[in-house]
Amino acid sequence: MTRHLVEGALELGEAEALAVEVAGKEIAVCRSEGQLHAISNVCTHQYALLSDGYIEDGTIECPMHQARFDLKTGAALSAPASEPVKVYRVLVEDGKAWVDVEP
Amino acid sequence: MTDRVVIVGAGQAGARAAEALRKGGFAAPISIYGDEAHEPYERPVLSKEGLASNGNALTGRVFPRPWYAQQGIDLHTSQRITAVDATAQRVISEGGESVAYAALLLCTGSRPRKLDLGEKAHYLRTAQDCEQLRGLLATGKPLLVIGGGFIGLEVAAAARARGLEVTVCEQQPTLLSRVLPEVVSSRIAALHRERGVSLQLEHDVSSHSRVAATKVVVVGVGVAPNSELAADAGAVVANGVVVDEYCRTSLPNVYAAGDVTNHFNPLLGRRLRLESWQNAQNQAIAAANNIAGKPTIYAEVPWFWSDQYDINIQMVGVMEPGMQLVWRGDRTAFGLIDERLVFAVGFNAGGDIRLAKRLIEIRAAIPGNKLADLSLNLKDLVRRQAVQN
Repeated sequence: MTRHLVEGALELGEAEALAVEVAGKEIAVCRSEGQLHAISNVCTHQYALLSDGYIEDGTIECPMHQARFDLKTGAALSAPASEPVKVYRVLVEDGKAWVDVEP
Repeated sequence: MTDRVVIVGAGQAGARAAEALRKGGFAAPISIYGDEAHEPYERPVLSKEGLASNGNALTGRVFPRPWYAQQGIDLHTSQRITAVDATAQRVISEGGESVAYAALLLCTGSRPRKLDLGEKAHYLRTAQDCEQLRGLLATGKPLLVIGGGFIGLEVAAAARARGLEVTVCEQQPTLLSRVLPEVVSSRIAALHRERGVSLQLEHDVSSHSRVAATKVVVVGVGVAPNSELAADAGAVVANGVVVDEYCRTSLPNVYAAGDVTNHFNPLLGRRLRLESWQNAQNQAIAAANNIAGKPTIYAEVPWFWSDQYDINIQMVGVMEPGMQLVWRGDRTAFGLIDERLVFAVGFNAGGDIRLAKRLIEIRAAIPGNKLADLSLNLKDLVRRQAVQN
């Protein structure tokens, strides 16, 4: 695993998200209930960026068809999604935020 | 005594209901019957990317065919159910087969309303219609669209994207008059005109009874619910199959979901017949939960989208007479009644619409000037409202 610095992640307000590309992967870094989470930014139902979606109660909703995912586990919580999104570990150290991504 | 659930209608609603049953642990047999040849698919694509030169009408397929058998679901396509015996609790197929049910879910959808224009008129409802229309658009002939509703407008946009000459004729003085305020629909009219569509409003449709052979004619003048099966079985039917908030019809153990229903929405305090993707999916899921013995009230704020050119138009809530309309920038319009949000429509403003949905759900009271104030963050407004409630 390699950790990648995510600029601007710490500045994210509650229910806000950032779209980043890390090691060729599209990742959404989100803040929900104070915590930072990182998940694959691509909805598993149809191509859409989750970072444009609605965050509430530890879940994120795809802006296209409102498929919901759990930000901690990546689990698909509602139709039309049935496949989970990948989750990545977020580390906060030395006033910076990092995401662990396999190269 | 059977424990089988029979679903009549192999569309989006039927598929999602079956999925929800299995997801919830329902283990008894499930049968789905549909009169189309394809496995269940969603329809929105048919009037959008499905009409592109490289389009595929089945992009919206819900699950690949093998999924059904894997889930222990018997999918019978090209098999119309012709009757329901609500006393014996059996359905009868056109092949004469009689199948007993413990619970029946009617998802028979709706069908296009037809005009008396003969064979020249094309309607767009099925994947087959889409494939046929895509072929006609490839001929390069000019297109005449009769009906300025969502289907007509999306077909017009798809045809313009293919470089065709397009005319849209609408009977009413404004487009989409049943669902949008005039100031918003006139913006959509302007959009089409900007993109080269010849738009003719307040146009008498019957003047096309002898349609030129040189044009491709598409008619989109609304749909009628396929409620005949339910009516013949003795269910209460009025502008669709009448169901309560638990998706129950007036017949024991018979439920209905999707386009075909006239359902009571407790959030809005009124009955609705919706022709939307959201209703097809979410009402079907609620119906499945009720069938599985988990009482579930279906009460959502109606949400709808239409893609025309590069504009994603989204609507949430239901337009009401006497609504005060407030614009937030030039992208989103909010409809208020006594300062309570009841409706919103946005152009490439999905984020605003999602927040508006929340505000409508919690019956938020927000002064219009706050919604219009671009220096105020909508998310913060929503959070503050949620706290107040």
